[in-house]
Amino acid sequence: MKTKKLTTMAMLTAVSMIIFLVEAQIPLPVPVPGVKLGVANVITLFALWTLGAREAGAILLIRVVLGNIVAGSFSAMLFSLAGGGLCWVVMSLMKPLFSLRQLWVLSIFGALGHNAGQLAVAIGISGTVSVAVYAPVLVIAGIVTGCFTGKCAQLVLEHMEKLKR
Amino acid sequence: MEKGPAKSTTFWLAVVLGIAAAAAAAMVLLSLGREEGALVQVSQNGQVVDTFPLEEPRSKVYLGPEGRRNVVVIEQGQVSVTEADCPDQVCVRHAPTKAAGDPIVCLPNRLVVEVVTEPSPSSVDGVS
Repeated sequence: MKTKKLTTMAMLTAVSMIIFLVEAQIPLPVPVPGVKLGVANVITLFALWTLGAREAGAILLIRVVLGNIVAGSFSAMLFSLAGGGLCWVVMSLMKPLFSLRQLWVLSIFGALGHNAGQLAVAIGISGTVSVAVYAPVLVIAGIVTGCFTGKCAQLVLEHMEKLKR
Repeated sequence: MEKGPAKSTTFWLAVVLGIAAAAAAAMVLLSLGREEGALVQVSQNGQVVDTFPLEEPRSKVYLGPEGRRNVVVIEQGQVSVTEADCPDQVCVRHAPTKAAGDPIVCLPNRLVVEVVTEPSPSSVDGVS
């Protein structure tokens, strides 16, 4: 791998990890497990768009593992891996469907994938399907946060496009 | 219009709003379908460990993995979690409930407290 690409990926990993750790300190007033802003996904989207799916996946994986070693627990890591993993799969598969101006939609689908992955782990861990009652709330929260983080990534990328010309 | 993506932005906007509407409808249906139950069922790690009648006041401490505890209290015909040392406190912030289908869950402690109308067999349910 070229050195420039390697260092770019390393920097993006570091940035996304900082975002992840800072966000973990902010408690949201919503009494539903698993609701979070997911701002670190801005980095995943940025990497997905500028570097590619495998690169974005590598950055995501390292951030999830290191971030949860530093500021999470084993079960938190399990949730992060499942949510992040499914989010990455969904976004990588659906990326060809969208133009840059529609990145916010891709982000929403990523957020929904994240919800689905985490809900699956929650059902597995708690051993009951009862936690699935949270699904509709998570879907709505996911749409809102996915739109927000997607729009952030989109604005950055759109401005970068202008700089290229 | 630019060449490029197969579907217009309006299409995707409709898809997203459709999903949101479906989720909102599901929430309404869920809250309408809640019935009052008579038993409190506490599960840990997917196994039912306790079943209590809802009308008898009591409180019990449950220990989870990593040494964490939850205090489950039944009083005045409702069940709630009054104390927990998990980081997110979702279980404590959950309002006291007497409705089935509204579980109080502490994921870090693998604890599920739910009101049921009849006890389920004491094994993992819903997951094969």
